[in-house]
Amino acid sequence: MQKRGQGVEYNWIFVLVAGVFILAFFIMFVFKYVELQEKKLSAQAGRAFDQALSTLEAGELYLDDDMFDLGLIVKIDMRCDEEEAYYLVNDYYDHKFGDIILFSDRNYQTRSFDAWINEWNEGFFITNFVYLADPNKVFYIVYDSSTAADVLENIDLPDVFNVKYVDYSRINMELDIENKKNPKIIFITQAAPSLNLDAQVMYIDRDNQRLVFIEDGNQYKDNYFSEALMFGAIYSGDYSSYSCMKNRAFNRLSKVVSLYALKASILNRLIIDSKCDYSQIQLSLEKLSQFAEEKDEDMVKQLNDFVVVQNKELGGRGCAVVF
Amino acid sequence: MILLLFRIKNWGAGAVLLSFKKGQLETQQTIMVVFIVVLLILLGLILFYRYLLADIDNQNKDYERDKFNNLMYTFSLSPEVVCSNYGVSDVLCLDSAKMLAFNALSLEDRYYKQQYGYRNITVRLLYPYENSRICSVNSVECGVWILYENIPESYDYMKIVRKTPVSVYINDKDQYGIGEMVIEGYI
Repeated sequence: MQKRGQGVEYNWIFVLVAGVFILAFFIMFVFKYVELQEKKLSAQAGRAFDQALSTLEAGELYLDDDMFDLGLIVKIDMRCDEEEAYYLVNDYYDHKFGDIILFSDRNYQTRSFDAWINEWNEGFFITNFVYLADPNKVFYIVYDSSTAADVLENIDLPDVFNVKYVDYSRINMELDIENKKNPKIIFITQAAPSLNLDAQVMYIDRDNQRLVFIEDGNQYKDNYFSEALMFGAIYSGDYSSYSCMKNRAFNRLSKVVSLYALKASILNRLIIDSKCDYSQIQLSLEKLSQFAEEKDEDMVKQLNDFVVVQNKELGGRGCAVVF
Repeated sequence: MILLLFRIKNWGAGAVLLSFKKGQLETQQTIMVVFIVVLLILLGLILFYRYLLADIDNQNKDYERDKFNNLMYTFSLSPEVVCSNYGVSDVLCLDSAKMLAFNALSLEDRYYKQQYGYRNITVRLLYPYENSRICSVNSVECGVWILYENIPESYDYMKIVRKTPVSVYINDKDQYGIGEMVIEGYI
């Protein structure tokens, strides 16, 4: 009798132990499956992001949040260093930007974006700049009486973005940054701002082509020699991300210019016409490529203007232009 | 009486022995059933896991294919090859001198290998003349430009080929022609 009871007891113990193991296995499987699905969704969102950028490159000038929709809210971090720039989705899926130069905030928690693609052309096409913003982000462009005409005519951000133009004399009434998600205030005024505001703040001195990023009481100054770079500063989240993307833009400029220099040398060999001498422009382009790689903005600006003039002169003589 | 008692005792012992063996048998049966059920579940899970992996792999291949198809259009717009006149780009037109320059740079610069990966990009002139001679910086009469060449060492990759018509500006003749751009990809 005792042995029969023992047999039943052993049976139950076995069933319990086996049941616990099976349950543990299933629980582990469920957790792993959920983790895998999250990774899969992150990858899908990352690919949707990449597809949207390709759509911009292929011809669309602007994408609003309906067209640039990742399908679900994800965390996106934009990373940039000297070697490469990439975005990271949900701390898992990363993808390089390639030769796209993207100006945006560093971190997002969103499902959609507003985007604008702008050609960087300094007499020749260099690359495309993509400007990205959260659909709920508001840009306040503050002007005063001396800059009003310039700002309202030339600082024209596309309608896909939330942009408000504010007269500095009425700033207290018109600047409604409370309850706004990560607003950015861009002062394009005679003098630098002295207001203490709970927002991203920057100052643009259009006369001297100077930028000032105001972050946590510190001021980071930089120059810009191109309107496209100025817009890049407007859309950048902070000075360091703008600076990194600007460096990448100069690296791209260096590569494109070196290709034009090589084209000039090829044209010199192919076109046998005494009035079509490409050696001078080739030399200038090689120097420009070198200065672009060294990030010497002043020399880049000077040489850039010079090569554009040289190119026009070649065209004026009836020769094939380099660009 | 004693015999009866003995028989009863034996019968009791036998009954206990019998029920003990029956308990063992039942336990063994339970073990077998649980074991087979677990095996079936494991098999089901393995098949499901392999299905998931295959699904992810297919999605990845679809994405690579879409990216490759995008390249057909975006490559012809890149500043490295697009025709331009005083800084204004000409869509879907490829500059012959730039193509030669790009080929030279893509061989030296790791940047382009990182950009384009395993691809072959060739342009063949069809009009106003066809010429199978490969263009180089020294050749004048030619009709094939090899822009970029990077073939993987291992052939486990799947090869995709896409072709598109393009306009070609022939610098030394100052004339436009029609050509075909062929992009081979390895995914």
